[in-house]
Amino acid sequence: MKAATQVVDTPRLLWTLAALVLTSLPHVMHLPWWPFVLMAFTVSWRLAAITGRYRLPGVVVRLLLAAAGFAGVLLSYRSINGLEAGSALLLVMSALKLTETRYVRDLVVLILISYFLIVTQFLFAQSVFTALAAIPAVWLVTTALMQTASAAPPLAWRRALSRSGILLAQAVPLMIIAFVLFPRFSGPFWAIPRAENAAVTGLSDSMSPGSITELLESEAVAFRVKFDGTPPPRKDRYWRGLVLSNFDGRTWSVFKARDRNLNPDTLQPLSNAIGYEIMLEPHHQHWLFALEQADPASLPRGSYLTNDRRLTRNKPVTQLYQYRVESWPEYSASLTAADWEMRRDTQFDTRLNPRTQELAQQWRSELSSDAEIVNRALYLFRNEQFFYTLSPPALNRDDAVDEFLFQSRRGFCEHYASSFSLLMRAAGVPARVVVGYQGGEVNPYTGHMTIRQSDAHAWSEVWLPDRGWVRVDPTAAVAPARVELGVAGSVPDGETLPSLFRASQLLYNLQLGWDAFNNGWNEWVLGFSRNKQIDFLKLLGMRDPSLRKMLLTMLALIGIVVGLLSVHLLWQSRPRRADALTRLYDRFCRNIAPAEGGRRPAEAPLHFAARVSAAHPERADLIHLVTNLYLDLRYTPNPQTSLSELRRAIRSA
Amino acid sequence: MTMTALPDSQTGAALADVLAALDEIILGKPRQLRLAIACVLARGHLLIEDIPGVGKTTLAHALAATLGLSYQRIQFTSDLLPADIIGVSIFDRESSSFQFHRGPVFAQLVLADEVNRATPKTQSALLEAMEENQVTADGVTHPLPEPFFVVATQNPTYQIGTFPLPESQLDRFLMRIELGYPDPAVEKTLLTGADRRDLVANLQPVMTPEQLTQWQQRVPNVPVTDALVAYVQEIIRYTRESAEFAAGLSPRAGIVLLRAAQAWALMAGHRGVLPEDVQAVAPSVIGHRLRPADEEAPQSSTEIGQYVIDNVAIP
Repeated sequence: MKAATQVVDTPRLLWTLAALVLTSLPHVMHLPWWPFVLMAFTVSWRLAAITGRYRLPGVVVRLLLAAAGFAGVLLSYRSINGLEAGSALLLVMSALKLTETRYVRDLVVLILISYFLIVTQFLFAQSVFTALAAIPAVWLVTTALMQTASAAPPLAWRRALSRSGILLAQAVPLMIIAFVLFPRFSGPFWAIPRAENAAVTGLSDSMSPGSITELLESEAVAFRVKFDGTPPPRKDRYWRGLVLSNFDGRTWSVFKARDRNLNPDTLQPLSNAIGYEIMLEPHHQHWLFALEQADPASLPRGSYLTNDRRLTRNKPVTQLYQYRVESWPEYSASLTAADWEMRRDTQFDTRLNPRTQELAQQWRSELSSDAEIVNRALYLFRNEQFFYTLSPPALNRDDAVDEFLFQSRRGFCEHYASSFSLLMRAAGVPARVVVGYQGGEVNPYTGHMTIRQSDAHAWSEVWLPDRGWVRVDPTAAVAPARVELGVAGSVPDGETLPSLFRASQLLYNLQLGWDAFNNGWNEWVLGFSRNKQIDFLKLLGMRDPSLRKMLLTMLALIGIVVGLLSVHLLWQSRPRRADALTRLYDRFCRNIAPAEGGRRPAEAPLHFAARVSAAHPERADLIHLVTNLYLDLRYTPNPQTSLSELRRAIRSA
Repeated sequence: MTMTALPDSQTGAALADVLAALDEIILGKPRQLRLAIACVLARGHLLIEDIPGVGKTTLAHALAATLGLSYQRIQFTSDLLPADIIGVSIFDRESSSFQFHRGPVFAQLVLADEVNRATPKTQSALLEAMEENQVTADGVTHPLPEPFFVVATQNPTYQIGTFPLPESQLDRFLMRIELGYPDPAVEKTLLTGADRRDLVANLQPVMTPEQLTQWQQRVPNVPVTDALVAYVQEIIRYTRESAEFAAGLSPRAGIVLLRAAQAWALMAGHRGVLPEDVQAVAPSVIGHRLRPADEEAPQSSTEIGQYVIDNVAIP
């Protein structure tokens, strides 16, 4: 049966189009609009062509279209390499392939591309949603493949869907077995290419007024944490991310220079370590998060601490990344700091924010020590009319800190951290801004802690001669609730909450449940790494799981499942258990003339009798007798003979 | 094959005589003759498809003569109108009313010769009559004679100037058979012996229409066991599941297959329908009801039927 060279017919075309369109549509989220317009155009063209009134384009038009599509991708991305350009090219070319679908095999090509389009979704995101959305997509595409590639006429859609559903259901055990047992390779063996302009909410390496507001409104998860023991109290949960040492009067940014590794001797623990595991959502950056202060001896492989105590990884985090760290809640850092560092962290643009400078210099002349200056600044924030609000008035471009400190006095962490650090620098105290997250919420369903983008926070660090670098959180001076209760607890009455979820208990609980589910997904599906796999297999009773053992077990289990399915199929299509009469007759047919090979399944008894009698005339009478008895017993409602008579007749031979 | 299984004392003489009489006229085609009679017994209609001159018309005529049926031949042409078949109403001056003048279809055996040369409109007039066993003209229904049997002949469709019967209308015929060329010995007799048409003219009926009706009534009573029904079901299932065919057999096809097998069993004198009976009629009954899925499947209708039979195990 050759279906491949069969000419395209309407039902097959419709199934293929359904598969292609449904698997292309989700790409709307990360590709430009024009490939979809192109696809709509070719789909309509192909549909018009099946009516016979229009023709598919000739080879010249097709070549022109292909060239235009190629150029379109190049124009959009300046490349055909990379995840997005590649996906766009795939989409464009599959849309164009439609214009040359004449035979069924062309449709099959498109359906296989549809499978590929489903897979490419996972290169962009690996969330539960992506996986859930893939299920109906795979179902539809498989149905389309079944309907199109088969030589038999397409089934009714309900029947087709149920049949392919059964097919896929049979594949589920194989999928689970392969998932659990297929060896995981660590390393960049199949690293997912980075999405160039994937819009990921998260911290950036600079901070200017307003840059954190967007984060505070986002419920997106930054990372999840599982503590070995009880988590430290909320007010101590400062998740250190980036250190911003450069200040241009308005924007704080990371000091761009080659990172120097931290000298571990400059760090002294003052308390016991707390161990925990972080599952970091991909943010496509190099930095990692850890509670202040991470123990340099406990870092995950491929990461290091810089001398300003940022935890940094060699490679950007493009997939869910799971790592384990230990931190000391109490520590002392850099009692002896380098001169260049001191110089860098006291620099500021003297032309901007004159009133701030004036105030700082006034403090410097009045007060005797750096610590007193710090306290003076905190006293200012605490006792003057400063307000914590998420909707502060806009600040003027150049002298933003002046304007904030002396006029608006309304803001949140970034305003306070920024103006505090500048005050310190102006007073000659080395200071910098640290951004990261503060707080986190324990999920009551699983016990893990979730840190969302809305927990983003900025604070300051000042260097004091006898204590080294010390964390100072000016926001806490203005709104102690921010660090004790989180953003939601610290917003003044009457100000709308940034998140809908905080508004209703039900929605909040739903969000917690969803978070718990995602945590499980991350932990057991995305985070099912080599180590986790080995632990899990040990738990299941496999002693010393080696690569070889895993592969063999996998093959054996797949064999068992396929075997069971085959047995089931065979059992379903088994010949009905022959009754005594049929068995008797069949045995007779086999034995009467072995040279003739017995009765063929489709051979009627009389025809068999004639054939065998012709070959063995000496047995003709017996054969006829037995055949007639059998036919009488089997095909007349009131046989004139009995089974025992037949048995006797056969035995007499 | 010399063997007749399970002879039934009641059967026999009459049908055997019919066969013997026909064998005299149509030489060397006992199988087709038996199928034709089985078709009559099963109250079906017969389509004979072959090139001109192999004895299609003679077979129909001889059948009518042997069974004692009134006979009408309609030569189908491209300008034949429905009224030429079923009849017309003509105004009668004396009674001042329309009188229906019956057309040639009012006969017990109608030979529709070269049915594919007429237009579809005319063809369907005949096919409607076959389906309904009655004719309606000017709002008046006229029942057709009993028994009523149509033998249609058809030239192979590749000949010029023909309207091949559409698949839906092929279904109206219980069987489709081909006669084929005679073998050399038979050919010699045909060339040297008497004119077949004269022989037909001299044929004496061996059965009355009433007797034929009685035989027809016995067909549905030929016993069928579950084992045999299972076999027929297997055949149907195979045609529906096999990729060789564009569509499987309809339930009606299954019913008429069983009916034809019963007729065959009755003629063979079997006390119940045997798989052999099904196999004997199946190629003619199901062949024209199945359409091959593509060029690699068997093509001719007899081949298709035989292909099915060869591939279905007898349960």
